[in-house]
Amino acid sequence: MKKILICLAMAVSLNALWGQAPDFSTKPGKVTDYELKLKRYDTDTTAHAVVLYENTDFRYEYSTSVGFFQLECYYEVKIKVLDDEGASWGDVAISYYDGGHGKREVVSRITATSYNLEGNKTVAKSVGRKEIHKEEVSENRYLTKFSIPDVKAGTVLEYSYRITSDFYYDMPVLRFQRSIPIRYKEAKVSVPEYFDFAYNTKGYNRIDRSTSRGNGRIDFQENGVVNYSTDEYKFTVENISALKDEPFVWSKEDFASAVEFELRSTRFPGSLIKTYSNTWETVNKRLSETTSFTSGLNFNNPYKQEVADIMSGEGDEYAKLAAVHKLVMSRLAWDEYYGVTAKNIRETLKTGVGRSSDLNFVLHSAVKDAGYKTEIVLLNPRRFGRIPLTRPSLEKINAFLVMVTMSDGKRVFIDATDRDSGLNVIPERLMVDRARIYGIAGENGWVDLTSIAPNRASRMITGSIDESGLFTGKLVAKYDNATSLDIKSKYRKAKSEDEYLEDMEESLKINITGYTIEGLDTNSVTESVEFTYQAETAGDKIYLRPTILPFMSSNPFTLSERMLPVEFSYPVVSGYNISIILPEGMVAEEVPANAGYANADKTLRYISLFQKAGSVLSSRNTFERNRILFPVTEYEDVYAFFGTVADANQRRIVISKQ
Amino acid sequence: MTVHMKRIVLLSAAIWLLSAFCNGQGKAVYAAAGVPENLSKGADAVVRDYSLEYTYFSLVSAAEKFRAVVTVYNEAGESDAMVSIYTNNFRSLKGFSGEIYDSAGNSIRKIKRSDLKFTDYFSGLASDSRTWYYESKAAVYPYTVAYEYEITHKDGILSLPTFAPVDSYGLGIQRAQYRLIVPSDTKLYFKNLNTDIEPVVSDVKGGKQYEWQLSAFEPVDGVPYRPDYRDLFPLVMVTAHDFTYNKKSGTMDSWDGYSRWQWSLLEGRDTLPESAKEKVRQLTAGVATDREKVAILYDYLKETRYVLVAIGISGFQPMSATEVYEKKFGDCKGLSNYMMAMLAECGIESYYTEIGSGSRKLRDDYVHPSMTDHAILYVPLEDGDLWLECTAPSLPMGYVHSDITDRKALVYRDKTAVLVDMPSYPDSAHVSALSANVVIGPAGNVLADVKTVNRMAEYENIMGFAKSTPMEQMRSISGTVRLPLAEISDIAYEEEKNAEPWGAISYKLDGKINLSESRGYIPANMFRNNPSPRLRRSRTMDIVIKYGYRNVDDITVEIPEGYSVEALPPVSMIENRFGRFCMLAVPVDGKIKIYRDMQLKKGTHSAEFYGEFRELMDAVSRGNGAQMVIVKK
Repeated sequence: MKKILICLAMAVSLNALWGQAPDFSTKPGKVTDYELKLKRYDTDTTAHAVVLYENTDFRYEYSTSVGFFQLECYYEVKIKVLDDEGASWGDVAISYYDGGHGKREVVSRITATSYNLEGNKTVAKSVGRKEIHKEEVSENRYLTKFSIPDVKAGTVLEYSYRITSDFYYDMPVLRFQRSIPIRYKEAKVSVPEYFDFAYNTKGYNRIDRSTSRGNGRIDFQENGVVNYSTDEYKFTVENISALKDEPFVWSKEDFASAVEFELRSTRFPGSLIKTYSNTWETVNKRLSETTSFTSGLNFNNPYKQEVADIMSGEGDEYAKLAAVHKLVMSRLAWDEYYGVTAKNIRETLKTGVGRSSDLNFVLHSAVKDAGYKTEIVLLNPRRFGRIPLTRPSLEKINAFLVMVTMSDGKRVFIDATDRDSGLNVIPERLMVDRARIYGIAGENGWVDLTSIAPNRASRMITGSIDESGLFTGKLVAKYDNATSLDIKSKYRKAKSEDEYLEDMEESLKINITGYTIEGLDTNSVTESVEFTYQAETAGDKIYLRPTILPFMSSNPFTLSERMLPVEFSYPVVSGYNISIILPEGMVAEEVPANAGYANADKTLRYISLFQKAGSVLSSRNTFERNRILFPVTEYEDVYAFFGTVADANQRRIVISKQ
Repeated sequence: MTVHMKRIVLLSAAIWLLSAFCNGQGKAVYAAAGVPENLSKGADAVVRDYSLEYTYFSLVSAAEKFRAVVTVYNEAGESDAMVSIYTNNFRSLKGFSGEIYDSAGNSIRKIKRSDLKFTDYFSGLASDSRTWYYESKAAVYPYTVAYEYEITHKDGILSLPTFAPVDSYGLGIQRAQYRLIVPSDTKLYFKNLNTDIEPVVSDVKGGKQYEWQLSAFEPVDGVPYRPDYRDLFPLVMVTAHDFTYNKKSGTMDSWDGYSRWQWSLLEGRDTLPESAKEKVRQLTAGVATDREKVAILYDYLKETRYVLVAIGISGFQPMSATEVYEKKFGDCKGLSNYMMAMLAECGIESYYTEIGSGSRKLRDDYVHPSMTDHAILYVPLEDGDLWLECTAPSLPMGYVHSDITDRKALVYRDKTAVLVDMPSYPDSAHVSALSANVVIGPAGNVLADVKTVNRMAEYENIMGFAKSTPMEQMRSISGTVRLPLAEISDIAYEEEKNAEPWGAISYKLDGKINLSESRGYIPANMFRNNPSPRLRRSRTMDIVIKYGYRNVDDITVEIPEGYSVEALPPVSMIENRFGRFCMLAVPVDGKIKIYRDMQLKKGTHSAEFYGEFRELMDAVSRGNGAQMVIVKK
């Protein structure tokens, strides 16, 4: 691993050399001898294929048939296949949207050719028109697919196509990183003076850019010609490494190199300036002008009687809010689609199933009707990536949940897509660090949903051990907030309590003799487990784990190096408190030394303490994770912390005859 | 097809609609309470009513009506109520209607034909087929989904529907029925699997009716080491003696009959253009033996990649050899046929072979097209036969991979095919042998040299290693190491790609164990991370081990100066019908020698031996987690 990193670093310093290398061609249809003969890509010798050259060109063309500007996106890529596994790059699928009579994207002018060296001859083979297939993937979403012939290890393949889009306000993201390395890519964007775009670059790679002025024209035939000026952007990258999957990453796209263009406003001749969502104020405004959003926001509580009954009943405002939330959850199920605008709330109510927005609009209506102060919190689920800090846009907002401000001023977040969720206990997939309160334009509109309640798992194990090493005792485990959600869903997913317990027995290697679970309808679940456990023995010695049951005995990170930041699930405090009564005539010959470990800023901590008092031996083991995001620069520290804790947990309490 | 026949169909359609209508009377019919407790207990879903009516008009046309009522108890049961209707050039969807009911039997919503989604999304390049589907969901369990539809068959029928109402674990069946109406002179073949239900046969006007019923089938729990569903769930297969598909006719009375039809699809597909012939001649010029020629062409096949192609007649006919040569891609049929054509060019005879892969196997007592799903190539040579997996030419030539060993295959030759036994290997041939030398230093630091040699089927598991990136190699090794903070280096891989292939991964490890002033703790199993299956307490289902194998570990641990061995895992030696586990850790000259030998035997055993199975697996699991303790002298 170290070697690769060094290799990449060297490659970056050799940038200038590569750029000038005449051995590669950036001309369409031109394949050099060097490219054909290339056996491996020195910058990344492990690559199955490499993008030798890629060019995208986005420009606006006025279509007199449509009667408006269209976005013409031209894509061209040349890939070198380095081994058999890389041959699948010859199978191409282009995704596009076709709304039938509505707005659509059209794929055209597909060319695709493979080049192979046979003897001294370059043999080119192209995809014929009949070999291009169209497939419907889902409503309005299509794929254009083709397989380039004769693609194998050694092939240079090249294809290009054009997508003409009616969505002139929605410029596709310019991606500069793929799952294979990119040797050179350039992207041009030409924007007529009528459009005002802002752009934002992201990722860990250098993207060179330049801008200049150009011009364009619209030919209205006998009605004359309109000339306009354009802004010409050009971005180039060289030697971009492959973007690979790593564990503990919410969405790797967050870290991919890209340039995102966002339309701020349009001003066409003779019409007024029209602004797009370039500030949070305009994002909010745009939403407030979207009927399918406001109709959801103003939806009337469909459970008037039920809510009235709850509100006139027993309990404080928190308990009543929890009851209203439960009520909605008991009526509606999530169809696993996210949304910000209402799809069809009436239908959702009728069928009991709907997208996240419909469910949360109903929840919002019920809570509001109950007299609470409610707000909408806009967010992007973890796997779709983060809302950009500096580029307000609706594009990266795909869901929302409901915020309630209680009479004591405290904020409570609730969501309707998981029936085990509760007040301030939302599904992990929505626990994002950047969410926006709808209606607030400034910096104080941001909310962090990663630690809205203290998440705890506290386990108390008490019992006695006999001379044969058989431990008989009781585990009382209390799970609060996010940890309770995990336990509840695991318990509910099991077919029966028996199956759940059998699983627990097998994973912990214990025999369960008694079990109760409480609080399944709350955010605090308590399990009581009576069990026996056979400790390891040798001769007259018994070896017990400090935590009795296995806990953090292996390092969750298996590699000592990493490319992407670490993103954990949520902050948590997790502990095992142990109290063991030793039998007459047995002593704790050795207890591990008290120990504490932490990372540099002490946001990760593990403490393990032991005490002997007469025949009672106790140990307290606490793990705290107070921070969940760690940049790559801190990875070494994080890796070492978990390794050290796992190592410490190999230690044993040694019990022997007096 | 007679006029009478059509009238019967209309009549029976009317009865069927009438019965559907009657069933609709009163919501109690759909109330979840109507499911007997023995069926709902442990069920993800229960099929309340399943009725399949198939009217076979002629060799080329039929009408199929299907109705199902399914009560769903939990998330896992949702897929059992999913509507999924497959159509292609030979079968089209006519009517559809459906409705979802709450637990009391009140209608929640209707499902219309227009609500069905369809996808022709296909992982391969292209296909003529399309699947219509609808996924039901409701806020509260249980709920019930009822739906019905019709399929029209035209232009050919390969086989008649199979009666298989149980198609997943955790699914109970209250009542299921399959009614088959055929012209009187139709000769049918039946095959029952895992059931002894017999059809009630009656004469209907102008035809004959067969009716099978299955009721009160209790849900089966899908536990580890379970039998394949084909050996578990009741199933009745039906074929007609004569069939016509893709305008060609055949018979289902024997594999010979079926093969003659398949032959008509193969015939003439194996010609190569002159440039390809030239290429073959060039490659094999001056090569002495046939075996070497096969090896050269099999290697050349690597330049032709696998792309699934299912245009035309739903995946029965290979792309022509010419087309595969020109496109340099094809599917298993196209690639096998292409290889056959290339071999023919240098005078080597080979035979296109159809086979079932994995748990799908050809039977010798019944003929059904669904028993095959793959094509390979049989090359008889004087110095030993070859079975070429043309879809994966990176496999060593001469080795038969585990998805296609130990079964029958249909070898095509002279317009027909014969069933031939594929080679099989003894379980003990599939070995993974690990040897390691571990030195523990005075501070608990660990230096180890580790080497694992995998043979035969175990080699298949690591075959991709050479092609993985160093990062992937590192990750796959790190995942097996049980020492925290271990650094892996000097990774090396060698392999021998012959009829008895092996691959060897070796690496150095720099890690540590926990060593205090008084004691040190060493995992006895440092370099394997075999997860132990979660086994239930009791069992009623047969225990099936699909693949047999053997793992042998030989590890020497040098302990630091000044320490002695305090505790070693107890000796474990178990041998029974399921396999063997032996683990010994003994001190020898200040070192610890660990020997571990685990063998699982392929086979099926009655649940009465579950105790023995658990005993073996518990011993393995204890061995996996065992720790050794050293103590300061």
